Amino acid sequence: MTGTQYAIAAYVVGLGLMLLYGLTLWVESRSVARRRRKDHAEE
Amino acid sequence: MPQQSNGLPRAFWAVTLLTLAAAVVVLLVYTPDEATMGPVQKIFYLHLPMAINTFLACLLVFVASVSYLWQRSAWWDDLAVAGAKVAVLLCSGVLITGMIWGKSAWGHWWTWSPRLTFSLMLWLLYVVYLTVRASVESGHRRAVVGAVYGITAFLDVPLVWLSARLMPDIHPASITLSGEMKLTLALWFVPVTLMTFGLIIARFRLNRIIRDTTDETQRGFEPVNLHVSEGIA
Repeated sequence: MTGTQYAIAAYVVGLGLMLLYGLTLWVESRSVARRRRKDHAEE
Repeated sequence: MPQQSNGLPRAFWAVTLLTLAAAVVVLLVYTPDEATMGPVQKIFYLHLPMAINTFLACLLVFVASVSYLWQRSAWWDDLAVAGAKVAVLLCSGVLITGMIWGKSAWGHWWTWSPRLTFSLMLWLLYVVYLTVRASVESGHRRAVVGAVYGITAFLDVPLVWLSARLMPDIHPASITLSGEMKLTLALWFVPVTLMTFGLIIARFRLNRIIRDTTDETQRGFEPVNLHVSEGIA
């Protein structure tokens, strides 16, 4: 592998981790909001 | 990125992603390659901001843990957990980007140098923090154990910081940068710090919502059980 390929791999993994976690939180927050709406509707 | 009721978080994430895009463009078109290491040195502009933000997230866990033991408010406990989760995430990024750089620069993915060892210890300490919390059932006890552990785990942060300065280490303690390189590094601190802040706040808000929902559910069960037992009696 060349230096450029190593650098690209590092940025993809480093930024990918942060963005993926952000996406996970977004999905989780939508799921929690949906569950809360459903619970309130059942009450 | 969590969906919020007001427009501020969306604007925040838009600004964060814009600064990230700007930082990537600057890195590609403006920043020169380092003379001896070449393009692989550019990993440094992500590696260092992630490392500093790991320390900040660990500091947040420390402050929130001390505050919890002082005030016994679940608010601080939720903040400490959010900080610890983001600290593990960032520390994983620091270790992986460092390993990739090490493979290119030294020819090894890993070496047991003081800074690398203390960095791995830091990652393990906060992984164990989250594991220990998950293994304690009582909410109050979980928060107390987490707070004491969170304060103790922070002791590794100064060791990571000082290790390459006080002990012989293959990891550089500091790197000489040209003006363009310093500007790129400063620019990369902006999106990484904004992302760290945004992820901690998002995780914290989710922790609060989940706690409120759990409390509501627990409160909701009590009168129902009372009613049923009264009916049977």
